Parts: sequence; structure tokens; C-alpha cells
Amino acid sequence: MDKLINLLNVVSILIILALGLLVILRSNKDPNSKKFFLFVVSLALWLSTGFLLRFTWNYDLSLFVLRLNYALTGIVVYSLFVFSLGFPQKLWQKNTAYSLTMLVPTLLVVGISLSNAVVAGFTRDGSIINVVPSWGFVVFMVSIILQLLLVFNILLRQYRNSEGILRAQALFLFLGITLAAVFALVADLLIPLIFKTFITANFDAIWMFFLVGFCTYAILKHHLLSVKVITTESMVVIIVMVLVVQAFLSQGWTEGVLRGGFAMVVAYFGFLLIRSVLEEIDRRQQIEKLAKERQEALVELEQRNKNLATLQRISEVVLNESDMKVMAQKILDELPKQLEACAGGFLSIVKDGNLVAYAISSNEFSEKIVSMVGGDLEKYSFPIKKEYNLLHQVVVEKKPISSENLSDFISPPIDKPLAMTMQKIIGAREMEAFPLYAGGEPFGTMLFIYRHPVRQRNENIARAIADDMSLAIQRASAFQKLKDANEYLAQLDKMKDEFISMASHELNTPLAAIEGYLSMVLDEGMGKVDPKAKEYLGRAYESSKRLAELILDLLNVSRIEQGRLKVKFAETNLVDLAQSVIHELQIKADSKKIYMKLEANKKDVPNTWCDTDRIREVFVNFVGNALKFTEKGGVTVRVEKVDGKAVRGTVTDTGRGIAKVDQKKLFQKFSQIKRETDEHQGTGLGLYISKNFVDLHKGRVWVDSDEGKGATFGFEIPVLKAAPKEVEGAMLEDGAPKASGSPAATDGGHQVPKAAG
Amino acid sequence: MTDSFKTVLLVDDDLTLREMYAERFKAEGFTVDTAHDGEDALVKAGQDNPNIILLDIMMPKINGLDVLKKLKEQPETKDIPVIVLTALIQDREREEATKLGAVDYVVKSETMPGEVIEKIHHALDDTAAKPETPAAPAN
Repeated sequence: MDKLINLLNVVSILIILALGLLVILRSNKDPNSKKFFLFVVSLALWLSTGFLLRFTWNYDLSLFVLRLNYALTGIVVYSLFVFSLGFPQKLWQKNTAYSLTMLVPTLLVVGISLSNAVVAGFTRDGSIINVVPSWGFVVFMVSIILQLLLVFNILLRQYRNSEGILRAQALFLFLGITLAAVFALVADLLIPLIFKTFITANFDAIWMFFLVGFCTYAILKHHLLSVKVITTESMVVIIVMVLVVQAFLSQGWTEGVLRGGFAMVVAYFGFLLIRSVLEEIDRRQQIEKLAKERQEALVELEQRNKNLATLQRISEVVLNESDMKVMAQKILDELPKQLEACAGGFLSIVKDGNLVAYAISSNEFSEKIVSMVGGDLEKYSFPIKKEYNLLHQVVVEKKPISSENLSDFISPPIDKPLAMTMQKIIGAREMEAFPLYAGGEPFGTMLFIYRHPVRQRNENIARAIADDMSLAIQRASAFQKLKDANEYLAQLDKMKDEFISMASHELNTPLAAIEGYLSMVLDEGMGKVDPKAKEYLGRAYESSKRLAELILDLLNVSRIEQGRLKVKFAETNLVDLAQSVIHELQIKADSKKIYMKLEANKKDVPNTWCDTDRIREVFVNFVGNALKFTEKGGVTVRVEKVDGKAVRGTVTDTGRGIAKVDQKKLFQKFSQIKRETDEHQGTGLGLYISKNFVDLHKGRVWVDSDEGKGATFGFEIPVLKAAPKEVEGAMLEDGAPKASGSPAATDGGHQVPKAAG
Repeated sequence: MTDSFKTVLLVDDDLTLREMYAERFKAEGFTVDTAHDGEDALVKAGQDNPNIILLDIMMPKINGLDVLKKLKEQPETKDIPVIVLTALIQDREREEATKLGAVDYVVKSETMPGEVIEKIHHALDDTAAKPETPAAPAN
């Protein structure tokens, strides 16, 4: 029996030491390993002293060992305390201070234990020692128990404050200590008290084996080592140790050498075994690592895909919606569908130095929320101040802020109890507000509301959404401004158009009366007119005609400059046009007694598509000018083709010509060249309008003249086989030629429909 | 003149012009009926059964183009030829009027009363030449 107990004690102590060695060798850099090793060593020493007391020595030596055993108890508990402070994690910053403080009672315990204050003496009953306590025994017990309770408390906190693997480690440590303590309590205290026998007190080493075993497992689990290695290593070490001890205890050197050799062989094979297990573990770990990495990569990929899909969905909204309010609402409505555990979002916009509530995600409770705050969100508009609420703070500090209370973000202006009710309705657990930027400056905030605390997981995607929202809102507001500006311009344009239309109408009405009455008098249908009066009335009539032309010219200029001139293309021959113009103006030439002739061969001039009204206007202008400035000789109109690609019309007069310096200005607006003998000036718009009309046909105008040598005005337009698809600077009308009413076919420019038949 | 004793309905909101054209048309032998706005024009066109209507565009209440449209919609007035006689020289109105079925578009300041009479004769001749065919709106 005694022998068995001895063996058990020795083996347990060896195992405990082996485990301590294992830990320190496995991770010698970890301060926890060192502390654990110290604990194990002190524990082994304590167990060894207990074990030594089983053998009979002289009384004094035994008493010393007994007292040493008591002193070591204090050290074991102390080292356990130090170890628990830092394992599995460091819970307090002042660990060192706590350790040093605890050293004081420990040293006290050690001190009194070594003196005769705790153990007065002992009586021996075989291998069992009965202690004779002294006055300090109670102090010793209380101190040890208090320290142990403290250790329990620390371990409990370790367990509560840890997660995952750390929590498991704390649990193992806790289990180990509890088991060891319970066994020790029962064996060393309860059984001796009840059964008056100290027989069970001999198994301390075994109880402690639980403690050390669990601790070792806890520590090494941290380093991802499997039980398999620990067991293998422990077994090998124990067997080898047992063999070595046997070798030392053997009778005679031959047996010793044999046993020693056997131990070495076992140690060698043990080493091989451990190595192969380690290799296997290594491989498995690598596979596990790869699998884990692959799993992580898959999760990451999945998350990214999800994020991309979210952003894509939001981008779609952004691209398809230009109205800012509608777009913001759509993005907000997407949030609960796209973001994990997201209950919705709340958007505020900076407007004139105020932060204005703008929109919230619509969902099952949004209506209720909106009704709680009084329907109209945008009435919540307050000057931006950092201390006002967290939304304001986000704008001022330009960084995201999170909180677990909705009221932090919206109170004030919302009452705190109301905000808390809202949070309850939504089921919100966590919120984070992001600033929205435009050109580096925040112009609003986006509040994300979550039903579970997953903010950190969603942070990147939430930020991306906020950024997307920033861009979208900027774009939408720019678009809106542009749209407003365009609408305003279009309105102005329309007003201008209407004004010109009105003005020409209002001017033309009285003018029509003047002209009408004058023409009626001049027709003499109403009675004979005195010749002198008729001459004066004739001049008045001419002047009113010029006024009418001026109004028409101004209207044309206005249309040209607005690009609203309407052009209508039809196939025509320029010779016909020239002919009709000459016919119309022949009276003027006749009255000035100058000739007017057309030099053209219709067969040589190809038909072309052009706006016949406008080109006719050009001819009228050129010929009218020529007649105006020619006193002697006459006017020659020529129409010819150029290289088969263009047609050219020229009007040559024998007037006094135009100086080269003046020629440049001729085709400009309101350009008039001073000529002393002019009877009357034109509007100065005729040539400008002519040039623009020709430009619409992608043609050119020019003048060739010199002072005293007459002048030639010409234009060229390309020959077109059909109406162009569009005309730059004008509005193209349907170019289908009409059966009648074509100016080329009318008489004297009056649009008189031909008689049917 | 074959057109003499025919009735012209002259629609214009400007009194001076109305009097001027009326005087000239009467001198030509027409019977002249006048209307001073669009509403008046529609009433008189239905009641007085004129042979031709001279229609201004810019008028209070109902503008000339709307009057023209209504005239062409009503069976009893749709065959009466309408000449638009306006101070508007924008192409848009000319096109619109032609589309709605006006036989001619005359700008007041460009066309003298004598010439307007010529156009009235032309229009009446055209109508007389094809009595069975109503004035077909241009496309």
C-alpha cells in the first residue's frame, strides 16, 4: 500500500513537472508560460515536501520539512494568483501592482509558517503526520482560503470577460482549480475531520495533477495544439522518467546500465513518435489553415459580391433618377433590403447653414415614426452646432459617429422619451451616422439604423453607400440646377419670341392703316388728288413701306440670332428666281431710267434644293441695293454654275462703287456706308440678313468693288439633290414642294394661288 | 363684277382697320359685315351666311386660328372660304392657318387694300370653280 502511494506521488509530481516543462518549451516567450512554470515548480516542491514527510527522519528535520511545506503552500497560492491575473488575458492594467501587494501577506504567511507560530510540533503515526497547531494556524488557514477565494473571483471574471477561445481557456483553468480544490478539501480536511484519518491526505499530488493538467491543456489550446500531442508527449516523458528513476533505484550497476540503456532507447523511440505525431499535426494544421483561409476568402468574396450588388443596385437608382428627392428616397428604401440587420436610414441635408431632416427609409414603421414627429420632416431645420446632437456633430467633425441611443442623434429637437419610444418601435440596437461630402465639405448626414450590433461588419459598405449617396445627391442637385436654369432660359426665349411677335403685330397694325389709307387715296378710286398732294402722299407711302420692311428685317434678325429661323427646302432653279426678282423691281429701274438685265442660260444652271423664299430675298437685297446706288448705266444679274457642284448668283452695277476699307463691314449688322448723295439709307440689315440666309445653305457671299468702278455682289450655294436632314442655326421644316404658292411661280412676289384649272 | 353684292365678313378687333377695309370693300360693291372679336365672328358667320370671311388672328376672347378651326368644324360654315388677314408676319401662323384650311394668308402691312380685293376675287373664283368641293384643308 505504502509503495503504491509512493509511486503514485512520484509519478504525479513527475507528470506535473513534465507538463510545466512542456508548456515552457512550447511557448517560452509567453510571460504566462513563465508564470505557469513557476507555479508548477512551486507546486512540485510543495508536493515533494509533503511526499518526503512520509519517510521517518529525525524529529527536527521532519519539523523543518513540515514547516517548509506550509510555507510553500503560501507560495503555491501566490503563484496561482499571479498566473490567474494574466491568463487567459490581462484584465487589469495594474497587474504588477496587485502582484506586489499580494506579496506582503504571502511573505507574512511564509514567515510565520517557517517559525513555530503555525506548527508547534507533530506526532507521527507511521507515515502519517498529525500536526499540532499553534496560535498562527488559524491566521494561516484564513489567509490561504482568502487568497484562494480571490483567485476564484479572478477566474470567474476572466471567464465572464472572455469570448471564444479565451473563454474556453478560462473555463479549463477554472475547472482545474475547482476540481483540485474540491478534492484537496475533501481529502485533506473533510475526511481527516470526519474519519479521523489522514490516509487520503497522501494523494495531494494526484489532485494537483488535475489542476496542472487542465491548466496545461488551457495554455496549449491557445497555441492550437491538439490533445493528441500533449498526451503523447506527456506519456513519453512520464515513461522515460519512470525508467530513469528505476535505473537510479536499481541494485548494482549492471542492472542500472541496462535499465538506463532501456530508458534511452525508449526515449529515442518516444522522440520519433512525438516527431511523427508533430509532423502529422503540422500537416493537419496546414490543411486546416488552408481550409480556413479558403473559407475566409469565400466569406470575404461573398461579402464583396453582396456589397457590389448593393452598390450596383444603388447606382442603378442614381442613374435612373435625376430628381433629388425621389432618388434619395429610393436609396433609403434599398437599405433594409441590402444591408444586414439594417432597419433603415435617415438623411439630413445642410441648407443655408441649417441641418434639415430630409427623408427616411419607408418600411412597416416609417409612417408611424413620421406621424410621431409631426408629418413634415423638413420643418426640422436647425442651425448647425456641434453640441446640438450627434448628427450635427458628424457634420461639424466630418467623421462617422456611432451610438446605441437614437436619442443621441435626434434629441434635441425630438423629446428624449419620444426618441426612446421610436427606438423601441424600430427595434434599433445600434446606429451610425456618416457625413456626406461635396467637394470635401459635408453637406449632410446619413444615419444607418441597425437591429443587431453589426455596425462594424457593415461599416465599409455603409461608408460606400454614403459616398455613393454624396455623389448622387451632388449630381442630382447639379442636374436640378441645370434643369431650372434651362427651364428659365426656355421661358425667357419664349417670352422674347412672344414679345417680338407681339411687337411686330402691334407695329404692323397701325402701319397697315397708314399704308392702306394712303394706297386708297393714291389709287384715286375715291376721287382725283391734287398732283402736289399726290407726290407728298406718295413719299409718305414709300416711307411707310420702308418702315414695314424694317419691322420685317428686325424680326428676321431676331430669328436668325435665336436660331429660330424656319427654313423650308424646295427644288428650284435660280434663273427662275432671278427672273422673278427682276420682274418685280423693273419699275424701279425704269423710274431711274437705268437698264436691268439677266445674263443666264437656264439649261446650264442645274436645279437645286434651297429655301426659295430666302434665296429670293438675297436676290431682292442685292438687286435693290444695286438699283439704289446706280444713277447711270444699269444692273446686270448673272446666274451660273460653278464646277457642277454649286450655283452662283451675281449682281453687278455701274454705280460709284465701295471703298475697300468699307467692304469688310458690309455684311455686318447695322452696317451703313456713308454716301453723301444717298436719297435714303437702308436699314443696314439687308446684307447681314442675306449673308445669314446664304450661310444657312452652307454657301458664301462676297463683294467685289472699287471706288468709282461699280460693284458686284455675289453668292454661291452648293447644289443639293434633296433637302438636308438638318440645318445648323435654323429650324428645318418639311421640305415637300407645293403644287402652288411657290414664290418662284408667283407674280410680283404676291402669293396669289393659281386659279384652279 | 360677278362678285358684287356678295357678303364679306370682316373680322378685326382694330376699329380703324375695320373701317378702312369696310369702306374699300363697299366701294368694290361688296356687302360688308363686321365682327370685333372671335366670339362675334363665330356668331355672325353662322347667322349671316357670308360668302367669304376675312379673319384677323390676334383678337380678344377667341383668337383667329381657333375661330378658323371652329368654322371648319361646323357643317354650316365649313365651306365658306377664309382669308387670314393679319399683322403677324411669323411663319408659324402662316403654316398653322394653311393647315387649318385658310385659302390665303395676307399680311396687312405688306398687302394694300386694293390687293386684298384681288385676293378676295381669286378666292371666290376658286370656290365658284368647284362648288361641290369644300375648301380642302392642306396637309
